[in-house]
Amino acid sequence: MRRIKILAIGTNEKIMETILRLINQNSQWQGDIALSSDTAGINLQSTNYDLVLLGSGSDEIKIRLILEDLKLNIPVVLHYGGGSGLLLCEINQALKPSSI
Amino acid sequence: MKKSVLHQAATRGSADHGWLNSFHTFSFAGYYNPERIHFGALRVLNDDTVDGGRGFGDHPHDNMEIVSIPLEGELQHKDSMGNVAVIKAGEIQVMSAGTGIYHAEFNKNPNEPVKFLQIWIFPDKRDVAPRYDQINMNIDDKPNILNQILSPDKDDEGVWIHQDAWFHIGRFDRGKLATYNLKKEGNGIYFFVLKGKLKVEGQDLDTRDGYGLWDISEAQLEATSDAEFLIMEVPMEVHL
Repeated sequence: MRRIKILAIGTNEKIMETILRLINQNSQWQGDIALSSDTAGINLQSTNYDLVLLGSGSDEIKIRLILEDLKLNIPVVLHYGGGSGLLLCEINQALKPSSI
Repeated sequence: MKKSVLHQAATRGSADHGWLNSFHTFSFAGYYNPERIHFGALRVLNDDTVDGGRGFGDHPHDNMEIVSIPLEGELQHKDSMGNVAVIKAGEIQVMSAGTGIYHAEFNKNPNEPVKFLQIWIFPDKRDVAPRYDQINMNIDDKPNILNQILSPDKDDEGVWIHQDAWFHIGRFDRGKLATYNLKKEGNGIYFFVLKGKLKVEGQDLDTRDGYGLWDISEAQLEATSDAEFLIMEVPMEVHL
């Protein structure tokens, strides 16, 4: 079964590395991180993601504009908490009910 | 019209990690219940017991107002802002995680468990500067009143957070009645019973039960035994 591809965007490198590790711990998910909106744009052009997760420092408006320009209809989730506490719930809620 | 939600203690999610026993009122970590995600801006209400000398190693947080209230024992805190502190029963700790912090929390006592509530409130704005505070709640000699321990105003009583939220703790003798008046229109209130029995707007509550009310301006409560409880008033609308 294809793993759910998640792009996590945020500017706090240490926290984003933790988020990436947590995402990839789940056998159903596969993550990439982008530390800037520009990098996120490049990732979004080259890879088919199922979900975009916005961490601290990310620019929600800019990311939504990039998605609009690329005509990508991908769920965007504001991530809160910076760790494992809410991640499972946020991703499950965003992908409900078909993918999980 | 008044709306309500009841979360009885036995229906909470739980996780037993050996050194950590945690009950989750709302979905958290491996506990996922789509019917229990949050109560307005109140996102996490964890009721944790940590074995002597054990604790949470260095881990990150961002964009969350994190409130810890020890119920028994002492909790050692160390964070990436340089704060090193011990909080104990009778005190309250608050962290605005904002753009990001790392912290570790351990039971200071090597032999006795520490029991504490960990409460997460969605902030009213993202990416604020991280901050830390702790205070003594000074409620030991204030029975039978609602003691404010948190607000959005740094000049008001208790700690403050980046959200239009107010917390109160009450230690009531059996039979004591009170009315809680909401501070802000559009907010809801969530009662969490720490000890004893409480009746809120006709609903009987037991120890560790939670009861949320919204679309109201006030709530009547009565201690049906000697009781200790927490009232959390939070906005019901959040940007997710």
